[in-house]
Amino acid sequence: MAINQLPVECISSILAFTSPKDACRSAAVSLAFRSAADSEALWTTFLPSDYRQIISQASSPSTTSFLNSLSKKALYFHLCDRPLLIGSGNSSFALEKDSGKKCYLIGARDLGIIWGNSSQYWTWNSNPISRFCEVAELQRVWWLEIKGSIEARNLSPQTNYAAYLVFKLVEDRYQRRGFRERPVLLRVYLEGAEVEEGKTAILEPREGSHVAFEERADGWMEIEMGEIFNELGDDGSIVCHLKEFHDFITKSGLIVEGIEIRPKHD
Amino acid sequence: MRTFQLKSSDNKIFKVSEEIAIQSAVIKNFLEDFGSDSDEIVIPLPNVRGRILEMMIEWMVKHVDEELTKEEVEDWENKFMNDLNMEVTTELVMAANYLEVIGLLHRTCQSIADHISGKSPEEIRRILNITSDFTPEEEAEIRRQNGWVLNPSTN
Repeated sequence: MAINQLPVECISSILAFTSPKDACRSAAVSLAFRSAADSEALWTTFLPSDYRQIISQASSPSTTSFLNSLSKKALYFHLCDRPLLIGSGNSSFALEKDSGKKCYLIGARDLGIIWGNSSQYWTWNSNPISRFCEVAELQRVWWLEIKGSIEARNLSPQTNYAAYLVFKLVEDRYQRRGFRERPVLLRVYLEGAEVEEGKTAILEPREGSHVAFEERADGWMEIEMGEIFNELGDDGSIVCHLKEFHDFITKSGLIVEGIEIRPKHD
Repeated sequence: MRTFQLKSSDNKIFKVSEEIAIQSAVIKNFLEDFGSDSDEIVIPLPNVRGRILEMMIEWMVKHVDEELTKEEVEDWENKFMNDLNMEVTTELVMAANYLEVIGLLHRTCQSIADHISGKSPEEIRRILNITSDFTPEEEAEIRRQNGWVLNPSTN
């Protein structure tokens, strides 16, 4: 029996065991495969099982109704290409295109930033390349500490995640202090199981030295803070932590967009 | 335990116990609607030929065998699937879908999916023995829509 003779719902069931990327490729195989590869049933399986609940958290209600009006395939790609602002609009949700796994960017306003509410230490400004209304700009501190947390149950199960600090340093090099001399300590752990060891990174490397961060497509820089395997999502809160509190070194000139949590592949 | 007879499209008769047969949601409903106490009941399955029905029954027998551990059933099932060619696997998908044997449907779909994962449309056609039925215009349109996975540079 030829596979093209199967009912479209059977071909959809087969494609549901592949990936979104495979499904899009298979649309170019034949008419029957194209129907299956575009079907609502198939893309419902590729969306997270709680996608309705997620899109109901959109910061603007009109976005929720717009997303609900899309076909499941269109919704999938919309969530891949345009991060959805959720809650008060200070964090965003997206899907990883190849796998459909969940990604979050916790914006600066949703992070715990020590001294973040004192304008002599941190200021809140709009930034042309930010997806959020405001980003945090470090004026001057000795005690630098930023913490973001996310519930493991909000992430895709059976997935290795990494957290990334999304940041920039100010253009004016005289306003940048402390980050050439002192590495920051970066850690990712489950709440209640705090680890002392972590990784350290220099956010402003000297010329010719190793650069631990990368430029992102949206214009920000990112540096990996650590990784964690989310098994079933019942591990409680995942904490992403950055600190540097050497007594005598003032730090300034860091701009924080947020902390992104997304799948990391080998 | 009641037993029944299942009759394939090529008029082969298979005797099965109720416990085995009700793994098919369709047979289960049939028995609930028309069930009698008689062993004489014959359920005609005009869409499934004997060889395929025999394989389905073999699969269903293993899945109610309480003497086997979960791992033993899995090992058996992997071997069972590996021994099938694509045409027979496809026929099993069709039959499992028609009779609503969900476990077998998933396992056979998974098997075909494993063969096409990571492959180009041309490779998938070759593996599944499909010829393209697109017009050149349709093919160009699909390639445009799905460029992110089809263009070599993004692969």
